[in-house]
Amino acid sequence: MRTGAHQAGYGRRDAAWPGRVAAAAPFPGGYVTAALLPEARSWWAVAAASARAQVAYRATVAASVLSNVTLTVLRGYLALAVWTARPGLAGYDSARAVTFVVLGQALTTTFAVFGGMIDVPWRVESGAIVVDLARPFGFLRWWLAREIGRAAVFGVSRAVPAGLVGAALFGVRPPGSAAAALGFAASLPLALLAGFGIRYLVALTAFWITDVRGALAVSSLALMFFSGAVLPLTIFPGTFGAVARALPFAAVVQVPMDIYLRPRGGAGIGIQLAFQAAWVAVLMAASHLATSRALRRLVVQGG
Amino acid sequence: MRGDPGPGLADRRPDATPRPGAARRPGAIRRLAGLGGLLAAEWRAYRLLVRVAFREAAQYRTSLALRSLTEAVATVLDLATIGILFAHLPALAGFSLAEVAFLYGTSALAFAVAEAFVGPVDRLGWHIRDGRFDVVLIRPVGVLVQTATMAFAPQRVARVAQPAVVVVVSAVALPVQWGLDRIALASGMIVCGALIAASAFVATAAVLFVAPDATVAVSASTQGSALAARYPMTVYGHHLALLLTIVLPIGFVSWLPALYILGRPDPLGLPTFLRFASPAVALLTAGAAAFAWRAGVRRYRGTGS
Repeated sequence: MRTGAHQAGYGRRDAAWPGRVAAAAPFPGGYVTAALLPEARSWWAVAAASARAQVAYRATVAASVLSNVTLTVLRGYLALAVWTARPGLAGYDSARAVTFVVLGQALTTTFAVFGGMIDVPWRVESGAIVVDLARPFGFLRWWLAREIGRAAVFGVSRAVPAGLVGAALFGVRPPGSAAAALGFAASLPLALLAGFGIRYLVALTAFWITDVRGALAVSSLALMFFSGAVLPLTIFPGTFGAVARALPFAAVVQVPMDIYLRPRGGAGIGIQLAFQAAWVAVLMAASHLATSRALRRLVVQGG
Repeated sequence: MRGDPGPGLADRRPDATPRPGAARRPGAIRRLAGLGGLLAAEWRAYRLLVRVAFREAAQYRTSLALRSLTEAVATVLDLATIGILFAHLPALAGFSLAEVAFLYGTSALAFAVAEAFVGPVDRLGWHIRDGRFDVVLIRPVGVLVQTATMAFAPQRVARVAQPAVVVVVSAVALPVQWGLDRIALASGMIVCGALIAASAFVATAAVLFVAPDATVAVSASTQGSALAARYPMTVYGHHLALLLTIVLPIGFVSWLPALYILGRPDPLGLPTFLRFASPAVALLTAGAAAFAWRAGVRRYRGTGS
């Protein structure tokens, strides 16, 4: 089933090959469009192939929905218990606190805060990574395009159902203002890039160390804890909290939720987006550098 | 560690020919004795494979030590969550820091033990997807034993350290008299809790026979049960607490026996004998997990890759 989905994806991608499409017809929008459109089509094709592979197993989607609903409900009740005892903690009332939990869990699953989901380590282990190197699309771009497809499927198939259950059970507040809604929408792609960058760098360690499971386990715990998926970073006390809020992990869940909820005493939307963008720039530059280093040192045994 | 490799698997399996006298026993007893022998053989195979994994890891001692250290340190983040909550609250749903720490420690210890020894079963999905599972079915060792040891990670055992310390520290901090009853119940609840957690791991991993891609969902649901067991059940509201206690036996991991140890009335009004029912529940869940696992193995179809 999975193989079938992959093959279908490859077929589509061949049709959208940059060179072939560019040569096919002159575009009315001029050279820029002519250069960008095939590029966009390739991204679309890779993302769509990745998305189709993600929906191939229906039972998997069902199991994931169930576990997401469970986590949303458990964390929601915990937040209610905490904010009932201490209303106004971190500038949230209890309605805002459960909104943080329900939407935060949706972001957690969409941006794979639980770690992994980039198959590089297993492909290095098995040698299949060679195939990825031969693709005329670029290694980093390939995995990013796949990540976009995965995030789209996880968003629609896991985050939305769990979010609806959470909203029905606890109630979810709408964004504070039109600016907050726009800012939240703008922060989502940045959160995707930040989450991808962190996990991609972890996955690339497979080129240097033989057993990445330890690195994966530790990184997923750190990502969950310091992104705000377990507890809002705004209730972390003192210097520890200040450091946690400055780390790149915060760009994945905490910052979008801060923009959405606008708690009292929070930073402005512009500053929050700039924080995300700065970390995305650093992570993407690091990913680029690490990719070229990793590919230069790769030796594949056997065939 | 690096002594003689010890007898191989084949030498340790029980004789195929039945012992004299076994044939004369009535059918049910003979079947029970056969099951006992089978379990003993499986247990020997499991111990052997785990020892091999440890010996393998011990070839690179520094690496093993470092990985164990990172695993142990990473679990501290769970404890930090409780620390942060109590930095703002005097009590969570009426339970003090020492009481929540005791609940967390006992349940986390049970889950860590289960995770260390059968945790690798959640890699089953990878084995199936990569076509490595067919081979498992033809080897003369049980499927479960092989799956639990195929990706055995010795450093996972280090995760036991932090909850064990929390159990001891919180037990000392609790304002209760530690008589023989409480000590027996506390050690019993950890053993039974580990068995219940291991059964939950195996039963949810059995889903992977039907949905080999669901590794993330399976680990999320075990994380969810560990999370649910960590806090007082009353946090989750009356209905969900009843569901988590009666339907899913998560409440039997630490909540119900801990109520006796803490000397508290049951906020859910459940009968008192349930506080001592963890061993029976552990046996029941183990049976259910075995049933789910066997059903999964029977439903298995190769991916053809």
